[in-house]
Amino acid sequence: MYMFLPFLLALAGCASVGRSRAGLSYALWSATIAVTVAWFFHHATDPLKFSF
Amino acid sequence: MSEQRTLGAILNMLGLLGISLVLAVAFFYQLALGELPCPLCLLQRAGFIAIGMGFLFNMRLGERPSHYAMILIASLVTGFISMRQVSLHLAPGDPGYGSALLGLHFYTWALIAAVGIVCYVALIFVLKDVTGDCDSAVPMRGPTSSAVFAIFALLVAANLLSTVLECGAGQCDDNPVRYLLLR
Repeated sequence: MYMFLPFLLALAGCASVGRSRAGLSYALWSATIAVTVAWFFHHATDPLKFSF
Repeated sequence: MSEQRTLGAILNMLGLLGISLVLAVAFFYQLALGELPCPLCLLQRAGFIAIGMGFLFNMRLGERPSHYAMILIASLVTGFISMRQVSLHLAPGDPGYGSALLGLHFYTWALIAAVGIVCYVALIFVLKDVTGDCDSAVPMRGPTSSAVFAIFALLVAANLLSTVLECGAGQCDDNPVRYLLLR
């Protein structure tokens, strides 16, 4: 699990925007979001003591 | 090169500046007060960066509805992550994680900011509709937008470097107190 991966993907996304490569930018943005969500579920392990 | 400045372009540039401000404040507290971000804090930063990328796409690749959708999706992800952290520290007597700004912890501010960005996008749609401003397919290439782009990219790079120093090539401690690679 690489905690720096979302930032690396985002930086690559910024670089591809600078080169006006829209398709690659969208793919890297999607990967950033996907990794962020995946890492969130990896870390969100403490149970919440709520009842609704 | 002259810069085409429609209302949407200006509001997107302001949006990216706002995201850069959020990242800069988080960095100030990290560097000046030595408060290392926890894993959920880092993921909230990643969420704000994803939001900023949506504004950046509108600036540099032309305004498109799908770019606004990316901003909204990233705002929901960021809001959900921060809501989870707020829930962790909701119990009475819990001191929370990290220091507070104006009485609220940063994860609470992150939740407020995520909701605020959704409202901001709604405001952009309303203002563009009222003023008859159409989506501009022409990317902004002037010095102002380039400077805003550079500030944002620099903050993303700084976050990457900081996270590598803090966590190395693995996952971060739940309550980090020192940089892993600087021990």
